[in-house]
Amino acid sequence: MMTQTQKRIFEWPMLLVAIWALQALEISLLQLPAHAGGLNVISILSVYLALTRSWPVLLVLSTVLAVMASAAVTHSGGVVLAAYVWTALATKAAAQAFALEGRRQFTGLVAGAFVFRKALTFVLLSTFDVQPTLTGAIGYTLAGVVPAAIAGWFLFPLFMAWDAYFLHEAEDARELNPDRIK
Amino acid sequence: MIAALFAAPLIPIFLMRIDLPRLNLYDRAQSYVVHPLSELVTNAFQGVGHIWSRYLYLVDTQRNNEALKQEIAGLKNEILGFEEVRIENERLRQLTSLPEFPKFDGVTARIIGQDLSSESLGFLINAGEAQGLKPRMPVITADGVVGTIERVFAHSALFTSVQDPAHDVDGLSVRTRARMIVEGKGKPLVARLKYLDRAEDVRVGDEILTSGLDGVFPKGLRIGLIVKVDRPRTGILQEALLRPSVDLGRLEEVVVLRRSEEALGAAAR
Repeated sequence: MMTQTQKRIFEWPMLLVAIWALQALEISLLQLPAHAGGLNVISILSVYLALTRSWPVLLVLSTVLAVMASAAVTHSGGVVLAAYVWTALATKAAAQAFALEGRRQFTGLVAGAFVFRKALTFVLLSTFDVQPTLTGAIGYTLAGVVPAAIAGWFLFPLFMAWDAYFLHEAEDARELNPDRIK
Repeated sequence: MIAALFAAPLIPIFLMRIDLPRLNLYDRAQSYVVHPLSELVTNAFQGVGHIWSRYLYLVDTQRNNEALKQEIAGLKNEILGFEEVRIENERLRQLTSLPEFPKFDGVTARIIGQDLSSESLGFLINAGEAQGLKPRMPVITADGVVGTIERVFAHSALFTSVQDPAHDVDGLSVRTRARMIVEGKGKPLVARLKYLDRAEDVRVGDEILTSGLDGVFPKGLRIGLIVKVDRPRTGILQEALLRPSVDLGRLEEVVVLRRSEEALGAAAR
């Protein structure tokens, strides 16, 4: 078993490796039908972070995740990056406004965030870069939203377990206060 | 503070508009890990698929069928090439000098993955800088034009397909020699023709080839067939849709064309 300090050191490298492995799977296998792109586990993780992290931490983490996501696209990386970060921030605003938490609400948020991100990407691409077709954008959004929501439903307990393992509040408190070990 | 938070993502959009190739340091680092893993997964998956389809299910029939299909595709391109030469010869009889075509050599690469974004119809291949690849190199198959190299990593590269909205290729009609720009529509099955003069005679079924005038593709490669023509009552342009000759869903191997001097440079390294 790792100590809390070891966990703190290893959490981020392990997360990086996990995301890289997932991205490799998404690039090669876990593609949505009709060339609708990957499942984008990073976007689902961003929603989870929006629910559980503070605004500044969310900005930093969602930017890091967005950089990772934008590295796997052929062009318009800046638009993809901005859309991911804005979606994470908007998701947090929505979660706070409606006091959302729990698995069911998380699944709904994943679907909402997916649609929001696709719409935002369409607007940003049309404004700053290439001109995508509206029917194509709607079709790809519809093709992706249900798989994203289903993935959100199954990934939520996994994210919770990850947080529980790496944050380990009880053990953390024991390490910080040696008296509590007794 | 909230305003500053929401303004921050504007930065990458404006950085994207400046050409800063060294910004993608992380991308290159990621390519060393993610792309080989993708190749491994793709190979493993295709390996299982091939065992099932080739050894357990109609072994010889499928192999013969594939060989014949490849032969037919090659012959089609060859016939079109001869047709191009014949038409060109007729025109050149009236001229005194032959135009010079740049020479290319091909690097065969396997598709190891697809773009994660639905906004760009891109593919990942297992050849990169080590094989002498550079951005804007043409990507083709025996069926015709596939796309253009967009981002190159050490041993892999991402290319945009001809159906991607960011992809343009200069084309011409085999029948009428009308010139046009073929631009992707962001859908796998169609591309659109841009800047097509209303006076040009363009019909459904016309074959469109590369004109060789965009500085990327050599002349005479198949792009696709026109499937719809829309000639509005007013305006100086007409619009048309094209079905690309390459089926993205069946793409497994591609050839990246390098200009001969680039090939020589890579060999010298």
